[in-house]
Amino acid sequence: MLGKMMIHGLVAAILIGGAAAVYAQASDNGYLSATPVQARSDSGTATQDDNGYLRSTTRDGHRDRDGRKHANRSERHDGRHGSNHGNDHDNDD
Amino acid sequence: MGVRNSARLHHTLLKAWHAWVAGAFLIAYVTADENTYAMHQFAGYAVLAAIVARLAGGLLAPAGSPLRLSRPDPRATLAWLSARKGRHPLFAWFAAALLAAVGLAALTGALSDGAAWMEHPHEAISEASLWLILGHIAFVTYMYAGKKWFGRIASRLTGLRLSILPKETTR
Repeated sequence: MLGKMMIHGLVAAILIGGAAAVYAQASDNGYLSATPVQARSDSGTATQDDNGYLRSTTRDGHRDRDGRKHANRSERHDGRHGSNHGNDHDNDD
Repeated sequence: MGVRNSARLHHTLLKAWHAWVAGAFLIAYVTADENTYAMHQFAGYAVLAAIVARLAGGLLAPAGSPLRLSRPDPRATLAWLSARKGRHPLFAWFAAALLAAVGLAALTGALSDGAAWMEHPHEAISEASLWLILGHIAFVTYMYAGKKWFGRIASRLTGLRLSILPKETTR
C-alpha cells in the first residue's frame, strides 16, 4: 500500500514535471507571451546580427524570467548585471 | 452494489488526488530556483488547483464518502488516548494541518507573483510544510509498516538475548 502510493506520487511527479518542462520551454520560446510577434522579431534581429556570440538572446531570456518573477528580484538581478554596476562601485568607495 | 462501486471510485479519486498533490509539491520544491522558475510556477499552480479541488470535493461529497474532509476533534483525541481504540486521531490532525500548510504555501506563492513581499512568507510556509510532510510520511509508515518492523526487531532481540543468557550463566 505504502509502496504503491509512493510509486503513484513519483509517476505523478514525472508527469507534472514533464508538463512543467514543456510549459517552461514554451514560455521561453515566446509561444505563451502576450506579444509573440515581438519575440519573433527579436530573434530575427539576433540572427541578422549573428556574429557567433549569444549576447542578444541571453539578455532577453534573463529579462523574461526575472520580469515574470518578483519585482525586487529583478531589480537585484539588474543591479548585478545591468546599468547599476557603476553605482555599486560608488557605494563601495 | 452501486454504493460499493461509488466508494471504490471515491477511494480511487482520493489516491489520484494524493498522487497529484504529492507529485506537484515535489516538483515545485525541487524547482524552487530562479533558473527553473517557470517549472516552479506551473507545479505551484498545480498544487493550488489540487487543494481547491480537494476542498470542493470534501464539501460536495456525500456523507460517509472517503472524500469528506476529516475534522480533527480534541474531545475525540482525548477519548482515543484513554481508550486507545479506533482510528488514530493524528490522521485527521495531519490531514487538516497538511491541507492548511500546503494550501497556504501555494496561495502565498501565487500571490507573490503580484506582491513581492509575499515571497518570504511563501518560503517559510513551504519549508514548514515540507517538515510537516516528512512527519506525515514517518507517521503513516510507522502506522502501516513500522509496527510490524518493530515487532520483528523486538522478537529478534529477545531471541538473541535468550541465546546469550545460558552462556553468561555457565560462566
